[in-house]
This record gives sequence, C-alpha cells and structure tokens, in this order.
Amino acid sequence: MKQKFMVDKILYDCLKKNFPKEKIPKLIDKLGYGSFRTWDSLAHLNLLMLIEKKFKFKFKFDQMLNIKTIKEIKKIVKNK
Amino acid sequence: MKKILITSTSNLMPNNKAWHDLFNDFNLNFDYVGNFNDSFYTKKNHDIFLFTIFIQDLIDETEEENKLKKRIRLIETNLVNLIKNKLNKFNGPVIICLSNHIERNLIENLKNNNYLEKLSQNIKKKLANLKNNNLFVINLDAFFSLYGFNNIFNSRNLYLANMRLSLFGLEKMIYQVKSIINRIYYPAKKVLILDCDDTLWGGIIGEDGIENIQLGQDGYGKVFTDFQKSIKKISREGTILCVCSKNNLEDVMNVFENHKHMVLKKNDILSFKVNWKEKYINIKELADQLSLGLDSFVFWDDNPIERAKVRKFLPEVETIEPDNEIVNWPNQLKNLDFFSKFNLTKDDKKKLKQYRIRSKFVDDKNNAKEELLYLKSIKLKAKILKISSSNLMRASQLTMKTNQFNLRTIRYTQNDIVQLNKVSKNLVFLISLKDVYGDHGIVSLVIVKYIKNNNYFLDTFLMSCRVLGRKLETWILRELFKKLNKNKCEKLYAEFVPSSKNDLVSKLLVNHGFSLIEKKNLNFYSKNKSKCFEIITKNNNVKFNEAKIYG
Repeated sequence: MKQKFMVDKILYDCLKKNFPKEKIPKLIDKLGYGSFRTWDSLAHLNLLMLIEKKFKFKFKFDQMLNIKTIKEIKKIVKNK
Repeated sequence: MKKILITSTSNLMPNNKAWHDLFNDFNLNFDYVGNFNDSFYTKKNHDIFLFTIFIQDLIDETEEENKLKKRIRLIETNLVNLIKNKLNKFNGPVIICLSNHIERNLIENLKNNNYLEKLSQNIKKKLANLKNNNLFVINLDAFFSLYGFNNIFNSRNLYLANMRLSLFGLEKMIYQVKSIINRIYYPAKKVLILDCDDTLWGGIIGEDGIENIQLGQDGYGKVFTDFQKSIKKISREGTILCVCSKNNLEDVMNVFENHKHMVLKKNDILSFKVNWKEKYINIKELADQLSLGLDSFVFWDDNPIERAKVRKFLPEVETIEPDNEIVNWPNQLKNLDFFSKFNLTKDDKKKLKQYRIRSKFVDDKNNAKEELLYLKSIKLKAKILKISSSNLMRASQLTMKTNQFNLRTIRYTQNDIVQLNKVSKNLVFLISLKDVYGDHGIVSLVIVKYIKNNNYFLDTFLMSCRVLGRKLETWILRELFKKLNKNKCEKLYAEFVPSSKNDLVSKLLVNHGFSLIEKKNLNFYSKNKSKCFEIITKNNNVKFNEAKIYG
C-alpha cells in the first residue's frame, strides 16, 4: 500500500515539474499524451526522461515509442 | 532578464527539466534548435548566442573518402564564415559548444583518418585566429570524457528524438554553459585566503617544529609542494594571496623564510593574519584594508569548524570544501574556475604590487594629521586618456569588475564602448594615476552621452577602489566640467542606481553640487529604483577646492 502511494507521489511531482504552467489533477491515472495543450510529443519525451531519472531505470526503445498514458507508465514502473 | 538564443545541429530537448538551471536567470529561446542556418539570420532580439555543434550531425563518416574530404572543406568554410559574420554584427557573447565524438574500434583509432576530429580541430583553430573577445568555444568532448562517453551519449534518444545526449549528458552540457555565462557577467574572485597547518604543509608547526612538518618529502610532502605550486600559478595570474592562521606569527614566518621547500615566499603573501582571533574577524579586517567586497574572497581551510564559522558569519565569502583526500587538492584548486580570466591584461599581473601599495597608503594616511596636506605631499599626477585599441580591454574590464565606486553599475563589452565612442558628441575617456606610491595605471572610466539641446547624461562614472581616498573623483569632475563647457553643455543629468555594493557613492553627486530631481520620463534613466540628479554646468560656480592638490 505504502509503495503504491510513493509511486503516485513521484509521478505527480514529475508531471508538476514537466508542466509547470498546467494544473495537475489529483487523479493522474487517466492523464496522457495530449491531455494538456502543452503536452506535445517533445514534452512527452521530456516527461519520460524525467521519470527515468526519478525511478532510476531506463525505458526500452519500443516502450518510449508506445507509452501514451500515466496508467501504462505506472504498470512498467511497478514491474521494473 | 537576458535572452539566450539557443541553436544547434540536432535536438537539445527544449523545455526539458535539465534547462531549468538556466530558466531561473535567463529567457531561453528554443526556436532554432536543430535549425542553425536560420538562426544566424534571425531578427529575434537576444543578448547571448549559444550554438551547439555535433560534427557527427554534419558529415556522414561512411561516405566515400574523396567526397568526404570535399564535404569537410565545404562545411569548415561555411561554419567559420557564419560565425565570423555573426560576430561582426552582434555585440553580445557568442558561445560555441563543439563535440565530435564517434564510436570507433581500437584498430580504427590507430589510423590517422578521423575526419570528424580533424574538422573539429580546424574549426577550433580558425575560430581562435579570429581573436574575438566575444567568442567562447567550449570543447565538450574534453569535459564529457570525465564522465565517460557511454554515460553522455545515448542512441535511443538519437533515434527517438534526434537528440544525441542522454539526459545526464544534457545536464552536464548545460552546467558547462552556465559556468561560462556566469563568468562572462560576474567578475573573477580576487583574493585567496589560506590556512597554514595541514593546508600549506602537513603537521602543526607549533607542535612539530620546522624540521618535522610535511613539505617536499616523498608522499604527503610532495602533495603539499604541488598544492603550493598550484597556488603560486593562480597568484601569478593576478589573484592576491593572504594567510589566515591561528598560530604564533614567528613560527609561521620562520617556515616562510627558512624552509627550503616552501614554494610560496613571504613576498607572495600580501597580508599575514596570524593570531588567535576568529578567522571571520580577520577576513573582515582584510576586506576593509584592501577595500574589496567580501564576495571577492575565497577561503581554503582544512578545518571543518573554521569553515562552518566563516560560512555562518561571512556567507558572501566563497568557502571551499576541500576534498577528503589531500592528494586531490592540487587538481581541485586548478579546477576552480572562478579565479581564471578569459584575457589576462597587463594590469592583472601588476595587481599584487598595487594592492600592497594600497595597504601602505591606508596605513600612512591614517597616521597623518592633516588629510589634504598629506595628499598634497604624495605628488598625485592624474592624466586623461582617450579610448584607443591599447586601452579598450581595460576600459571594458573596469565596467565589468568595478562594483563599489560605480554610479550605475552598467557592464559594457569592448564593442559597446567602441560604439559609444563613435558618437562624436559623446565623451568617453579614461584616467590614469601616479603618485609616490607608484604607477596605478588606468583607474577610472567616464562615459557621458549627448542627449539633445546641449544636454548631456553621465552614463558611467566609476573608479577602481584601490585609489580611493585621494580626492581623484573631484579632480575628474572638474576636468569633465571643463570639457563640457568647451562643448557648450548647459545641463548634465546624472543618476545613482543603488546596488548591494555601491553605497560608497550614494552621496557623491550631492557633495559635488548636483541637485536631486524627480524621476521624469526620460528614457536614459534606468527603470530600476534610482535617484536622479541634474546640474547646470554653464557658468556654474561649483568649487572644486579639493582638486587643487592635483595642481
């Protein structure tokens, strides 16, 4: 339970840092590519790289190409 | 906020968190990332131009050799010309980051056919030949190799986003750029304060005695010798050295005078603060004695408690955290970039002598009874110099480095000064000073801008702090008024823009007959908080009595 909370918290912080001008909702699961006007392809990659840094792991090439939502990211982070 | 235009040969992940370090202090324009050709013709306003070149982006190494050679020549001339033209029409700093790293196997590396490296070297050489002070070329690979290329470059990012670097690599590059920019706009540190025991030598002189301290012998002794050599090098380039140690003065002097392995001699040290007082008190005294701001000081001490105290009481002083391993100290000192200067002027080399003179002057003046009589006795001789190619660098340096005696603290590059000097009605001149204490060189800069209707504006009035207390400012104003009257000036506007350090000149204008006026919507006044002044120069009866000591 505790670990789940931590993952959410870190992802929330990453979103906040990567999109400083946007209001991030408390429930982040449904967010994904295109959710905000500023969430374009480049911002998406910036976000994934930031998440890599915070969780200290690397996405594979095809994961980087295919992941679109926070829900998918969570799945990968938990199984790493 | 200064604007940086960022351009590059491939992607640099605009708005990535890695850039945030620069976001806080600068406006970043990413419009031309990956599109460097257009960036050279942009009309977008910017103060700093940052161009990152990955040679790998420009040539395909697998191409046939003759074609490759042709292409290399073409790219070389193109790039150098682009940069040359940019420098001609742009006044601000142009920062070029250059990398040419490619993966090659061991055997390939033995052959002398790394065309990328050759191209990169040729570009560097040609840029260096331009001898332009606004051009800064960073060799990224030399810096990247400290961290390992495998950590810096990342193929996944290359195929995903056309970005060669890993996030870590990008962070390191930005850090490097930030340090350079900081050093362009903030002056170098001026004074290095050193502890003695276990810093200049190993052991404690008061207990171990001169025969038993570690210095010069194999092992630790060699390390301390090399550390002293690094210090000596910094001092040769114009940094002032002071010793601050809790010790008996005789013991310390004994080492400086009699130990045959001491690299630093008594004469290399401007001031010995060897006593049992707290170090922050000694450092404060030094700052007063040299009339330097505390932020010009760097403090090196092996004792964590002393460091903590100085950090607490004098946070402006840069307190170094020495490496745990003493063997790393010589390199650690060499790697500190806040002492190094981009260009060494002749004045830098004379610095130590000049500050020694300053120290003596302050002592003598405090002992004399009648200030003006004393000043008259030291045979002051000031001279006005026009701007010329030989003193241009010094003029710009003065605007960059002078913080205390500076009315508006505006920094000018050499190019800015040339432009100001081109306007025929502007007055731009330097002042040099001599007296019995020696030749002080060029110590002051005045820039007066012509506005209209025979009105002028005192844009810059600054003076090096090492000649303070000689009434030179009064003499300069008298000469300035003479010149203005010759030019039929009627009114001179002036302004005092307070900074954290220039309180010294807050009363200067009032004391010389200027009257305070309300800030009008005149475009030459700064938008910041400031006090505005004016003085009628035509037929004015301001008396410059104190300037008489100059004859």
